[in-house]
Amino acid sequence: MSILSLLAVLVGRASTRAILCLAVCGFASLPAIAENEVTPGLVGVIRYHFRERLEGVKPGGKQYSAPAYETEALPPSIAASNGEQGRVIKGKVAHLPYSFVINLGAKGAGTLEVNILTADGEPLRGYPKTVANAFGQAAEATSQDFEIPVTPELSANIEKNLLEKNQHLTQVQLVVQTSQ
Amino acid sequence: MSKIIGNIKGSDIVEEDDKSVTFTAGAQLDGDGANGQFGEPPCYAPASYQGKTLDLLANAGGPGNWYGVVTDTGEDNGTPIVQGPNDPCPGAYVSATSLHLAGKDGKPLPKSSPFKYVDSATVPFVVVPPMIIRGVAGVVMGCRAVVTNTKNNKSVEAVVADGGPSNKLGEISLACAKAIGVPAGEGAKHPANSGGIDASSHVIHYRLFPDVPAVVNGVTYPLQHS
Repeated sequence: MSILSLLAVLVGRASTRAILCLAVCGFASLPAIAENEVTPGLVGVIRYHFRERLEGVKPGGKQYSAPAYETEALPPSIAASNGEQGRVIKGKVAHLPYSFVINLGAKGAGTLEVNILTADGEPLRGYPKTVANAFGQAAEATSQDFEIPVTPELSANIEKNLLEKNQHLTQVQLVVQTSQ
Repeated sequence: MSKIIGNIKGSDIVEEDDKSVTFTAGAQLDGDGANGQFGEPPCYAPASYQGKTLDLLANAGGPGNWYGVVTDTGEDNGTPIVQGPNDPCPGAYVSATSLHLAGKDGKPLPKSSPFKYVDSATVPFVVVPPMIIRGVAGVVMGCRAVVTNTKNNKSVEAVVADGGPSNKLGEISLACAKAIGVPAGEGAKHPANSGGIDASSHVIHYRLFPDVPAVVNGVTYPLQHS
């Protein structure tokens, strides 16, 4: 039996055709997987900045500590559901009454959109915010920061439930970074 | 024999046999003390200031609660001191470190002098909590420190120059961050308010040498009893 006739017999079998089909489909899907891997993962973290009034400081000494922060992480990012390349973070953190929707790539490659919603589903003042080329090479930044406005009541609540004695909240911030 | 001075959020603070103090933590950023002493931007300034600042003004507090800038009364309800025309950054506020520097004549500088404090933008320094300052016999403020990023093995000579909160370990100046390859807010509007490595990451190794005056970039720093 010649090689050509042997191939003809093999390809003629249904099982062989199925294997060939799977192999071809697998190779065809490789570029798509590689492209998805190029889209970086996203990490969203809330930073609660504060300073602490230091005890026992001598007269003339610095009364407050250096600035520091506590953190709370938003849920991990997932692939965008609209079939486009992109990453999405949706979720809440324990000490803020807001929902976060962070989307990288939904409005064009590299475009970051951040929306913060109140319990009523209304965007927080100043949101949504959009940053073009948020993590591109031209944009030197390795992370993007967003100020989160807090009312005096919310500030007092955070100091009571998250911070420690003598610690004063100065600012709440969302930091979005790529995980690559 | 080495002994554990304490533990902050999972990081042991160890006094070694040679009396040096070691711990491993992350690296938050401290822009305090930056007043443009060596040509870099100041840490804080009022909204009317035209130039760049290293940190968001909110992190210095606000009227009635100035936590992070020097005030005329020395209290948080005083009025912030603004740098004058002969100071490095006229119009900017004066930001303080716990470590105070003397003038060229060796005499103490007034609290309003931008040069009284250690410049975060150009001097590698370390921030330590009260537990360390009070937990060892030697003088910590102003002492030598060696900071190493274990992810890239970059290391820098530094000075302990500021006091941190009681429950935080691992904070450094912007210059220190840059020297060891820690993200220092590159490209950010306020670098000190960005960047850093989270405290839980335990990739930065700190070694302090109480009672040994730091020598950084040829400058010998004073040991300061707290």
